Amino acid sequence: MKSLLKSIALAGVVALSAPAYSASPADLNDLEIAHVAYTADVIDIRYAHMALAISTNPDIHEFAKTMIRDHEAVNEQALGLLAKLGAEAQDNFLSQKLNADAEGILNEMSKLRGEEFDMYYASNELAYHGAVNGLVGDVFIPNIENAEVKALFEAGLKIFQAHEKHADMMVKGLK
Amino acid sequence: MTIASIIKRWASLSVLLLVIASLLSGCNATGINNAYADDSVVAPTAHVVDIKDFKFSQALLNVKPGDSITWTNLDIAPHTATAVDKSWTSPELKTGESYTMQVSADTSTAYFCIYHPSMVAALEIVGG
Repeated sequence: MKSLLKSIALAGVVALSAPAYSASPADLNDLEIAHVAYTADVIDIRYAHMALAISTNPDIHEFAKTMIRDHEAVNEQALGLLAKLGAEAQDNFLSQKLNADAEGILNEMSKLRGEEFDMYYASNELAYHGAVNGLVGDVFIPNIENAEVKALFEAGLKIFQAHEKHADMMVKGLK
Repeated sequence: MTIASIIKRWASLSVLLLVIASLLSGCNATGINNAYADDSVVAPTAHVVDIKDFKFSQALLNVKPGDSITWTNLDIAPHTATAVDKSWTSPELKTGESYTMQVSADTSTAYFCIYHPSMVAALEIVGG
């Protein structure tokens, strides 16, 4: 199981690291960053819905429901802010890469059942939130120009850090 | 006016002044507490706990039976304030929403957010 966690974490880091792309996440503008964040939220909501459909573990269900509730709340705020600013999020290479990677992970998850599924889901959540939090904290927030967008990302980061901690508790509980 | 009558009048005046002073200080001439100044009954306190950045603003809150606690969620994510033993809970609190609970002597003290188990806090019930 350690190798599974390691490979998932590695996949997350590779997926979000700049050298894998011709462009860099640090070059994205505010509207592209907003699109990446919205995409990342939607992906985690998709993972959660699959967990609710496959897992029978009550702790996994509670966590998945929290992911849906929180990520929908963040996206609602993001859409509200974009509407207020009269702007629209812009699709970009990183959003597309995240979506492509998510398809592969969802495909893998759909083949698993029982404890194997639970551990894969929990480990992926830990690795995914760790990778996204690194990207948001180290790359996006320092580069965001609009103060309101920056404040939303700072609030979002606190949520995702709590998710990472929760996922860590869940992984340890499943071992 | 004799010396005796002068002394008697001064004595009467002194008693009158003493009674007035005693009433103003909350006691009557017998030393029994005045009901209006009884400090043995402490008024209930309305406590406020904000939920912000995935923390309860007061990790440990001293309360007494009869007090009220109002939790307000200032985060984007929904939260709850829920007893660890599930004996009481707020409803789901979305951004800006509040919930008020009255404290009783047997209110369970350890609580958390049911959605985010790393968010924990406690009450300490004193008196009552």
